[in-house]
Amino acid sequence: MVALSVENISKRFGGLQALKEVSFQVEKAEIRAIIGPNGAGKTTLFNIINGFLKPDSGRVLFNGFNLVVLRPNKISQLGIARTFQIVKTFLGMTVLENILAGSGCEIYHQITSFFEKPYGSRYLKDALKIAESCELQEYLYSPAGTLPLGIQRKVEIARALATKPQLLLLDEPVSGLNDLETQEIVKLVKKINSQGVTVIFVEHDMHFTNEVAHRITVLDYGVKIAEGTPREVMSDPKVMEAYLGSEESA
Amino acid sequence: MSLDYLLTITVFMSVNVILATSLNVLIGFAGQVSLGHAAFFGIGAYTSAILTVKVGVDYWWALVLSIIIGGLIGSLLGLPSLRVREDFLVLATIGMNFVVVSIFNYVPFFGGPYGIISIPRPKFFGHTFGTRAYAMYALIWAVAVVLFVIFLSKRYVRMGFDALRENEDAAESIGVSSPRYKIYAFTIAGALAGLAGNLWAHYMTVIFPDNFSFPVSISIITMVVIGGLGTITGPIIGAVLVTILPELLRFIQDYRMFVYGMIIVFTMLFMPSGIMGFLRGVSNGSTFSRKYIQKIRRIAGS
Amino acid sequence: MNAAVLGSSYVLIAIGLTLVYGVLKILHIAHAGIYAFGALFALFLYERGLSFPLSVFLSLLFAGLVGSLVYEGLYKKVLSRGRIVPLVMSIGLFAAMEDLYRLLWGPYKRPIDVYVPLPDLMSSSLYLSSRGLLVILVTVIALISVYVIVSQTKFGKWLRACANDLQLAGAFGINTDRTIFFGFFFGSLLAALGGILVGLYENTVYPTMGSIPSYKAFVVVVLGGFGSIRGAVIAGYLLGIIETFIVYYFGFLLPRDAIAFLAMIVLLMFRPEGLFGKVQR
Repeated sequence: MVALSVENISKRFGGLQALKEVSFQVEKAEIRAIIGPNGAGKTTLFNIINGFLKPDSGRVLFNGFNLVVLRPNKISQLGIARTFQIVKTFLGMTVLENILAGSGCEIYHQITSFFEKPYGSRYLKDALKIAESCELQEYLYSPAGTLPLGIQRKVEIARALATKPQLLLLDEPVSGLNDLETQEIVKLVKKINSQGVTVIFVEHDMHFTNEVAHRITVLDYGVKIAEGTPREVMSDPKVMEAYLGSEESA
Repeated sequence: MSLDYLLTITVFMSVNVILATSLNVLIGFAGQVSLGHAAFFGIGAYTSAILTVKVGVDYWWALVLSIIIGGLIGSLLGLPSLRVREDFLVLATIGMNFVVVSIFNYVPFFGGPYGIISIPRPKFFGHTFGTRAYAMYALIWAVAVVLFVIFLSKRYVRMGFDALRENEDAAESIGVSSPRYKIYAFTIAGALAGLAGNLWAHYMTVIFPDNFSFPVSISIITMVVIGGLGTITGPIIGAVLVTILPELLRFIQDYRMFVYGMIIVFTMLFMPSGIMGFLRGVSNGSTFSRKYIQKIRRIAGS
Repeated sequence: MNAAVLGSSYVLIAIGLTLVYGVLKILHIAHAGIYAFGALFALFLYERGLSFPLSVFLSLLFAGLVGSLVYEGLYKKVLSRGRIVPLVMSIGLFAAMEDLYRLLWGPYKRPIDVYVPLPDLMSSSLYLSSRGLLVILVTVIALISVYVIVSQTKFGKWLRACANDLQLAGAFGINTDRTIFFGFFFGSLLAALGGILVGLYENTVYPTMGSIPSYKAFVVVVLGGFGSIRGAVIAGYLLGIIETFIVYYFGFLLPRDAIAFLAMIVLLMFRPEGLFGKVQR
């Protein structure tokens, strides 16, 4: 069953065509990687799926909704959660508070937000469970801003999980992490996926990508140039040219 | 120091507590840097004054309307915050303060620079409020407002504000609609400030446009910032200090603005999180008390 | 012609603000205090018996120093604490400055009794007093100097680099601290110049003379697109013209000052980047 369907998305910034008629479909419970050389339009694509950017044309279908016309918070409520390239944890808040903040996803737009307590037993239990599954128990009461990057990325993912998403978008989840930290994220992503959450991520780290992704979509200069299993994509000559070619010009 | 004098100070203090608390909701909770708060104060005051003096509405209805209209105009004046980023918002709000005061000054309906006079005191079962009654009345309202903010702070709305303040994009990604929450913040702040305006107007019985000009906004900011932005007790402490200081140090009455200014400068230099922030940082090395952690275990364990 | 003079004063203040904002992203509200300082201090020296040109020169020098010191002693220390702290500090500083001037020099409006050795210009439809002529001439000279400095000198290049990307500029070896220091110096000097010129033209000098022109200068910075000097210049004169004409035709509706603010609010809502600014999300 298709979780997300990206159909002919195009986006232009002034003179630059960031995305051109990009289309692909992601199956439920699949882990899909979106890769490509720098400037290929990957984060732009995420921003469009997430609602932060409106495409010039095309649709993004999720559960029957066209995300293109919706506000980011509404998209989050529909079940799509996201992490950011430059980690955006709530720095002044503790890890527990970060996760609790995510738990409120479904009520923020309702009147009940004026009555429900984050520190009520239901939300608290949920948050503690999530913290546990992400192995963040020892950091619960630390302000996010004091934590190292690897932990912060996990906090961001934990917070995203608190919104009970069907689809998780991870923007460069291991960027800036060392091997040990990267492995933690690998474990975490696989665990999340095993519970039925569809995952789409953007990455430059090919080891991480190959280890985690079921399928890969490759973009170059805003155009999809390849798609398939990691093995297929890695041996695709077009992909090699895209990467090597851009290295030459660098 | 006569009783009357103390009672008047109480009224001023209560009004200031409400003003500081309301601005704190806007800046400290929701992160919307609004520097024209005196405008909402003035709108509440003028609304009530005009309703009671020129339209003949009973005080209690005027009170309700001051709050409602304060909230409405609050949300209206909050609209720029939806389109406009932090720094721009600061300027827009300063500008609004200015425009509002200009309207009070130049539009004859509002009495112009001579203001509005003969504003009636409230009447309760036939008895008009004297100074003593009014002081108690104002105090009750101040307490009510603080309780209200405490109530809000325990709810998910506060989380929404915090998320919005910390990182707007991340907040959106967890379901917080930033336009909605910005308007929430402005509406609440406007309504509370409107209440303060009502209390002020009916105590002073005369109001002038100058009572709500930019320097007043500055003193409100001072209160919040000295006490500690984002905390609940902070604005209270700040309001009390700012109200009492000129009285305690009589001789600085003449240098008031200078002293406020320097207080702000030095507080920002050495205690940017205000007094509450400073106290918190000093008292515990660890971020959270064992009581807090035990409480969480207890709630979660049940 | 009034418009030109008005515009000039806005432009002079706005340039300093643009510089500070462009580089440090701080809304330097205390700048208003420096504007007033320029006029007040110059008058102070002149009344002590110094020649007018010397008074002006010294006042400009001191104003520049004061501005730089504000950066050095105050802003620099709180830059790391987010945006609200420097902003609130600037407001506090401004309030303190205005009151300080009141305490030092009295709250009254005082004239500058000096003869300006320039002719009055008169034609059938326009009139420009000698002082007005001075304002325009000096402003033009100042603007040309600013242009030359910013575009031709190394310092100007450093400034532009810092405004573009502070960290990157530092990485390239530019002494950002010193650049900012002198940026403040020149910006403040210009503001003080504005204060002196306006004080001359309107023949009144008083402690709070900085507030209103400076609020308007912010409007100019916004209109011109936060961080663009060229924008600020154009916007400054534009605002002067708009204000003058609106007052002329609609003077009874709202005071001149409110108009500027309304314009700014409206503009901010529909075109947050101003006329020439770069679009920032």
